[in-house]
Amino acid sequence: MGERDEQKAAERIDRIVSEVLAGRRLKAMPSDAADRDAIQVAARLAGVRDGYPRMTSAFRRRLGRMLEDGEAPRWLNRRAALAAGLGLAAGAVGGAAAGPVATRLEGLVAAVRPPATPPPVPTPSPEPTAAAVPSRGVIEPRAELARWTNTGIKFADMAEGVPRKVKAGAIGAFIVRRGDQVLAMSSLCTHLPCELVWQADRKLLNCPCHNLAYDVDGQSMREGYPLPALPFINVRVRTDGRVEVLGT
Amino acid sequence: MEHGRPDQLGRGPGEVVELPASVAPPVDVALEELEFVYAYIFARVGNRADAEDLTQQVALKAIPRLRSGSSHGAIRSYLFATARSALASFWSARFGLPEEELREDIWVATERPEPAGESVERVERILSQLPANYRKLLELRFLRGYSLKEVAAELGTTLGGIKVMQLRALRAAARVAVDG
Repeated sequence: MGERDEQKAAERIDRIVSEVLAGRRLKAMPSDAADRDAIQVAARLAGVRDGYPRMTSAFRRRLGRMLEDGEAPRWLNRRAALAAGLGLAAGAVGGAAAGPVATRLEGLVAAVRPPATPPPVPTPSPEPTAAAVPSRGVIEPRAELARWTNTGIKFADMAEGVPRKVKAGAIGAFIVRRGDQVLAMSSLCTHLPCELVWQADRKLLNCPCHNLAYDVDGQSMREGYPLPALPFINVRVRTDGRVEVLGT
Repeated sequence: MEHGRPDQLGRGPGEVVELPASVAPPVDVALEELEFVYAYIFARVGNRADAEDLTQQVALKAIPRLRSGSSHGAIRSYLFATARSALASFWSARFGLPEEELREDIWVATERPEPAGESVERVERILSQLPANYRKLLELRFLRGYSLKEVAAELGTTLGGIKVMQLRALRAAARVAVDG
């Protein structure tokens, strides 16, 4: 490809990229087909800039009304209706509002670059120790606010695989004994921020908002589209057996 | 920190509060499923407007299934298959290509819905295989919200130069995605 052709392609692709990053529709055309893989990769990159995307509440309400009515509503735009194979009055237009401009730095960086190592867990005694954990989100309170909080629970009193809910300032956590280790994880559902509850008979953490479940290690038990695992909370066991979590 | 504190509601640390699990009505169940469909689609089209359009299409097609009292699992499978099909049509319409010519194997089809964090991990894997300057450009531009002008300043080059570099970086990322 000549230099001029490359510059033209670069301009074209940047127009598409700029629109998508501004939350607007992807305006690729057949003349862009030669660069379809690059455009699709750009859409993929743009698709992770907000971490885990959710429907807006307005859109969710509209969808809910549509499902209840069982038919295409007036707000449905023409393209969607045609694609869905529905007849629609010619004048019915509507459409999604322009999307947000994504410049939320911290959340994005955190989402794309999760901590490569397990959270720091001081272990003053050789046993019990804090759990060795794979790479997974970790809740780190701001340094000036972070403080180790005594949970009031002794390691020796913890039953194997039975989470206990604790609160350390702004941080809610479940702590659970796994062998000679302790695991601490967020008590908030990763779907929407509802407090999870331990259901002893089912041996799972249940979300009372939408009846979703996590196992005792904080992994989603949802089939199909698993939710992200519950983020870790820093935890340590003192020499006298007290369990502490890093809260605020 | 030597001592614990009771929380703001006055409960002592370590107390577990049991709440009853709710039973959601069918529309709410469908909306919860569609929330995942939306996330799946958004990760592939990268913008809210198109993601809402496509999610609407999927929801409309699912209405008869919802009305027929299909099982939760059946609805989920149907929604996901419909989302894949809607995405294939989306790209096909934009590029003027038959769906079979698009790289369905890479970009659209998967055997099953992927875990929610997988899109992020996939992008991270792709970026990690790129040369440092391409990686930095794409991270700044796509993940950290820099304008092209700001990226050019950060990388010490001109606006025209950075546009060409962006094209090359995206092509390189596409090669990594397709090959690996």
